[in-house]
Amino acid sequence: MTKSSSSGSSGALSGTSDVFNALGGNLHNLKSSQITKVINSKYNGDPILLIRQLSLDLAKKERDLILQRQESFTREQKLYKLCNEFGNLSTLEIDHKLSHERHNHENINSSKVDDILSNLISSAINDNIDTGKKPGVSKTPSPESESSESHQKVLGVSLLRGSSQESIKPPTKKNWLRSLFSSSEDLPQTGSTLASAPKPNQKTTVAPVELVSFGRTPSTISLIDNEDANIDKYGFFTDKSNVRITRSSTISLPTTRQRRRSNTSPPDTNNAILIGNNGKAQYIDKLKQISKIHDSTNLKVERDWDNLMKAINLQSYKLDPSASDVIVQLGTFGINLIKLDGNDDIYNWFINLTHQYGIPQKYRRLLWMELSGANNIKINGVYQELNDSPVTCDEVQLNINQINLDLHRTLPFNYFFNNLLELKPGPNFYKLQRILYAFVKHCPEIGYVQGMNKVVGTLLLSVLDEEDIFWLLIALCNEILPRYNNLSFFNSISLIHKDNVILKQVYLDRFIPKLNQHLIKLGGLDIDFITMNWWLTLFIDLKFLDLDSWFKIFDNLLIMEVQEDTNDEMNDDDRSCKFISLTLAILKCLEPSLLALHDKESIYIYLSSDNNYHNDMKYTNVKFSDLTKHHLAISKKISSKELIQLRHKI
Amino acid sequence: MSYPTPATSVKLVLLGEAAVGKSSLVLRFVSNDFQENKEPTIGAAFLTQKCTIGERTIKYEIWDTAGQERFASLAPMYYRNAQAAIVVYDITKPASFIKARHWVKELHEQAAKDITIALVGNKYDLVQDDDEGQGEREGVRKVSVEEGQNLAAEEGLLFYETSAKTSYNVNDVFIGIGNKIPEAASLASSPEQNNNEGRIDLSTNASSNGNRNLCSC
Repeated sequence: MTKSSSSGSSGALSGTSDVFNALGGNLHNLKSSQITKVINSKYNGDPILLIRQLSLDLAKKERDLILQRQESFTREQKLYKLCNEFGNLSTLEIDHKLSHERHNHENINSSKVDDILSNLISSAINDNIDTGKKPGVSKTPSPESESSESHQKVLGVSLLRGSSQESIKPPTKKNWLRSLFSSSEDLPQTGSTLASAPKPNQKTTVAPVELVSFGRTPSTISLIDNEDANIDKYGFFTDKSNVRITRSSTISLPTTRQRRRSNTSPPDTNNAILIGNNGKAQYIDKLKQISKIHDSTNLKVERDWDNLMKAINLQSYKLDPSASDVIVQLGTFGINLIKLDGNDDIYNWFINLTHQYGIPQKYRRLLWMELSGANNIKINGVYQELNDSPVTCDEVQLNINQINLDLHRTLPFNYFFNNLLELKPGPNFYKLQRILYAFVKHCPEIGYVQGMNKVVGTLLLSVLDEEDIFWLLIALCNEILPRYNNLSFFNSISLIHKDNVILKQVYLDRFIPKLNQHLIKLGGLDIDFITMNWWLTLFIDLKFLDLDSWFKIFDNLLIMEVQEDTNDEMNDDDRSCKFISLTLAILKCLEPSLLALHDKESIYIYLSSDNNYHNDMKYTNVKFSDLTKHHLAISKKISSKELIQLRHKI
Repeated sequence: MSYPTPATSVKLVLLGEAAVGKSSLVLRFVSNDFQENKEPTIGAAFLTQKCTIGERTIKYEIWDTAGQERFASLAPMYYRNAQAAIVVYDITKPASFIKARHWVKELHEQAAKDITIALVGNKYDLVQDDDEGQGEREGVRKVSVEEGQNLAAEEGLLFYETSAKTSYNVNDVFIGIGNKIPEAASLASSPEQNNNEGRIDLSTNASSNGNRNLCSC
């Protein structure tokens, strides 16, 4: 087809000039005789060919419109992602700010929100990487890639971007992130192990701390190569139509003053995110500022942890210079740290850091395995043996049948479990299967209980590998979770419920009296049923807790609260107390929201884990720092002695 | 404009083997939605939905329970004081029908004497022929309609076959229960103001009644 007339209006739909190469555009202005002439000269006198050409043009224009719409959607998604990952803003906050911004601009009648978005995105991207090209301004792509891209999109594979497109794509934030994920921690930060990945420019290569600090990156993360697939950093699909399934959002920043080694007080993030409305430049500046604050705070926390780990190693070397192993035996719940330096300084330092900030990514694997006691029970080769061994007993087979029912239903909106892009199970699906199978073979007396799938599934999104999680699960059942009459947590559903009844009847009134009164006024709610579900999923199933915060809660499940009168290991009842005080702390964080709800149903729906039911409720994320604050205050006032008495009474 | 009649609260509990579609039935009834690979219910979930049947408005307070055997010990806490129960099985899984039998027996022994029970064979879409015809796919169905009907007749239950996926017969279950529950037996009228929000009007298709609506086999 030759390049003939390109109509003026179609020029706006840039980047697809070949679409308009052929006839079209001005045909309606021509006289009949001219059209006949055109048909004769160009189409060998066959009008059907002309009609075919026209319909093709129409179809292509329609495709362009779809592409345009999609592009603006993608750009919006990118902004959300940027704000989310670097700005510590939740989706809700971004929505709020955008509507605020939109409102201002409507008032002064100057610009549309789409312009703001595109400017924000392009500035944000250009600021960080020398892309040499703004998104949304497309160069003329090579015909092959163009057509294959269009083909995919026209087919409606909106999430999928073909690899053929990679070559013509400007280096984007995501590309850059990916190179960080796949580079090891020891490499210089500018380094990138991906040959194809763009080299970020010198000045802006300091990566967000939480990414750099992946001491051991989950191998799965590098599997996301669909840069425009709306997937968050944990693999949850963040497609707008499915916003309710997204898990990761704000990373709660520490707001309390750091305990050691920080001369400057941590910045007040609440002030930092108050964004002025004096134009876009300021808006962008604020975003940058926020990400800087976020990074520097995390860096400080990490340094503090580095120092702590050094101190621990030094002390253990002093105690036993012959130990070649630099890694100290922390003991379950970190009990060996208590007298490590003669007094409790190191232990307190460790507990405080965990309380305030959780364990940083790079130490998580080491510390989780140590603190849970998993390292003590881990025997090399056993996991593999279990995987290879056949099922011999009926009881195990029954468990496996139930596991099979639940595998497809575990984290169905996560890329690593259910690859919606290719409609096949993701890698973690099989890992989950192997871990649970091995677990029921190894611990038939515990067996499989619904809830385990979610716990193991979520742990698979952390930095631990498959075999570690298998041992961690066993350690959780034996050492960490509350036990009842020497039965494992998962075998004690009725007794767990009983503890939650005690929580409702006694502790709620003691620690959150206002909320208790409110619930009674509404006719009394069976919140014991709801909080029991929280326990059975180890607090994962809470829609107002993002995954980063949950990992920090998990960190805190593995440590022992400072006991004033005793230095003994936490017994079963102490562990129940810990669960009770965590539950109360969450309810305390939710108190203002719950007090604003004036009927039973809304409260049930607000607290329930299932967020598939349409409602207009606004959920406020629980901040980890608030949670810790309440948890510490409450846990000091709950004693296992009293709990035991209450269990006899109720 | 007539003032809406106060809603009658009916406490309803769903029981049945794991993965038969209890939560999906509720999701269809409450939100008219369906989700593949719905995550398993752990413990139980609480939902409400109002529906209007003729002159009456019924507010269902639904406890959707976990299906795994481990959680069975909790069931009495949910069906205690319940005025209605839906016992669900999967028409392609015979074991789930056996489990349903057990649940019906337990309810008759342990629950309130006047409890209204509906027996529901779910996943009708799986046996349905693709081309919307009257026929069924060969060999997929493992529990016949007659088996369900017989159990229902023996035990005095309502009986439906449903599909939460296609929404086939789902609302009819709740209408059927609403019709069977005597007005006096239900709880005192809810004191709160009725609002029409979130209420679905079922009266228009309330004519179809359970067994009549079943496919011909």
